[in-house]
Amino acid sequence: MPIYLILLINACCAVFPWLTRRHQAMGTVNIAGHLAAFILALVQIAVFGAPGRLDDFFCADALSLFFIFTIATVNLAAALYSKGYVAGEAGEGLMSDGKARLYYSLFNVFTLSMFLVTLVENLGLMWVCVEMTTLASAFLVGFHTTKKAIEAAWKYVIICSVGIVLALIGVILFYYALNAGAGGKTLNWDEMLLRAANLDQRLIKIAFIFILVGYGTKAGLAPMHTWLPDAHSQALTPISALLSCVLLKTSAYAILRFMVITNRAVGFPYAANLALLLGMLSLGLSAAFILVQKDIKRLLAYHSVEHIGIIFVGIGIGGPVGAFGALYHVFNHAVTKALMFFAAGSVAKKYGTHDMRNIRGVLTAMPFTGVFLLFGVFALGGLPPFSIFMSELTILSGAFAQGRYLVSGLFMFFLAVIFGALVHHFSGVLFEKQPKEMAPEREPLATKAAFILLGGFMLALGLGIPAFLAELLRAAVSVLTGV
Amino acid sequence: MWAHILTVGLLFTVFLMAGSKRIGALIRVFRFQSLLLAFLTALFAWRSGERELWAITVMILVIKVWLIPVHLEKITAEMRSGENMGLVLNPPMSVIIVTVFGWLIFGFSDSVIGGMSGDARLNFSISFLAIFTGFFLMVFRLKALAQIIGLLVMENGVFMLVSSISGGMPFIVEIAVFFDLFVLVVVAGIFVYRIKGLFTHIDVSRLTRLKG
Repeated sequence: MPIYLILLINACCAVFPWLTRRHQAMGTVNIAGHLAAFILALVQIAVFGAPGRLDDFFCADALSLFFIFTIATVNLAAALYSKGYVAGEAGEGLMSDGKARLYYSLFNVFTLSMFLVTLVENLGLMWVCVEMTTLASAFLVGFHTTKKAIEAAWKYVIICSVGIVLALIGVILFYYALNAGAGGKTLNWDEMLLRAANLDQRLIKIAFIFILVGYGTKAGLAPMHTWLPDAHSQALTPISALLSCVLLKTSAYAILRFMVITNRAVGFPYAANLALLLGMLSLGLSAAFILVQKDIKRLLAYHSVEHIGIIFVGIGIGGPVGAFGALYHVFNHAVTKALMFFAAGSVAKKYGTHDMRNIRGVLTAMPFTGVFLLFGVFALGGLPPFSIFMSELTILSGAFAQGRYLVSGLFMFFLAVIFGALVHHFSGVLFEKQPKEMAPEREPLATKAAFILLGGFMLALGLGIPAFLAELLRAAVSVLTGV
Repeated sequence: MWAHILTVGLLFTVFLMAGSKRIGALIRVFRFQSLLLAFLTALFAWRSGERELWAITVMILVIKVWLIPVHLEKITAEMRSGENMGLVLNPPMSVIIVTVFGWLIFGFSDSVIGGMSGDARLNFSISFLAIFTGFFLMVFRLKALAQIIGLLVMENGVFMLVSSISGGMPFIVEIAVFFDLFVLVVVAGIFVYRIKGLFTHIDVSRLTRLKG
């Protein structure tokens, strides 16, 4: 029941902005709605557990619930940050009340479509929902009609739509394989899984490549990631966070669903090896781009490619440990990166530039944001006691336990390079002297709440996983690995 | 026999698209291709007696033969760019490349799905050739409008694939895919207007502000 309420709340929040004229009211209701959705997600997980099949359309197993929890958390943070952000934009005359209305409405259509991806049972409808996320967020990427924003939005729509057509071919081939091999006319995930052992292996192998390349485009896997730095750097700040932290993950979720079927049909290493290959490629490629990056939001965008790479390396290593590490990393990356995008967005706004060579002395100019940015940099680089360290360590220990030393070595090498680049970029940004004429910044209360929420998760999950979340993660891993 | 005629007609439209010089021509061929697709679906509906296939036929006619081409023609007229779609490869070369790929796809089709009948193999190959041609148009035609049409042609190919190899996906999925496609064309259309308004052209090869 709480799950239907979450969907209903999102739908209501999408309609509400059209009933009022004041952007403050829209922001407050948006926060209230997403807070309610977050609490409902917690209640569902802690009290009711994974209900399994809900009706003809929806199904919520542990894997779905885990992604719902991740999405709800980032949504709440983005809603909190949005209020101050929209007020700031409105104050500068960049966003009228009409535009704020459009913003809040699309924000909720976007979040609703992401929730739907994780809930629909039918893999064809899941495809439709993934495409809906693109269409809903396209306007949010090109929200300010500047040349750069429109260019980014165009690339985003076109590249992701081509990717998603390839994914559709994959869905069709899966459907055909089921039809021909196991005599079932269904796209429901659990029914497909039941019959997976009878599927034509060669066809499934080809179909999975289409799925991986197609949804992988949207998930930001290299070498199909080319839309990502543009869209992330040009989108409005709260939307950058949503794109990076949860949109990419919903596409990864779609790949995971097909991967489970593929593993059952053709045996374990095939799909995992492909995931490992693309994961490593993403990690290596992003390391190179992170080194030379000058734009602060593009830097974070390449970090998204890096972390989606880490997630796929974890899945590729496989086994309970690798899968656990990968899913854990999904959540850890989501909270850390959202915090970083919010901090970077506030900093870029304050200094009036995205160029890190011109941003100096954030710690003195913006003490509150600066401290969180500092912790965020350490967390993103994978230092203890923050949560990303824990999930990276889990993935690495999974690789070592399987004796995959080459994979482990490359993994650590790329992470070391990226950590070095991160420290190099942010030492100047944080510590050097601030420009003289700059007054200290006072962040709005809601913005501070967003930072504290995300920072709290970032630190708490590094120290230990709460029991309810650990249980959920283990159940989700067993959905993935089938044991 | 009718199915054969329609399939060959679809193959013919693929080559016409590769050889089109102007956006107006491309939209007309797209409309004709969608019409053939609607006939093909109607034929399947008539043979199998499934009501859902008739509904899909009507949807193709309304969305792909009527709404989308009319919308695209309207944009083209307002953009005044009907004469040129930014050819990177000239039409004869394009037709040759598409032909070669058609031959390759037919050759490989047997290794994707073994044991197909001759008809099924032909349908399968033509579907993939249409998908490839759509992709080809997106890469080698530089105007934003041509890219939208390329995407639509890819989607037509996917639709052919669905009806030829699996006899259609579940009804609700097909409806949802149609709806999605229509929204996509509207969204992309809005961005074409914005690109035109800001850049005073719709040549995507000149959208190069974001790098690295």
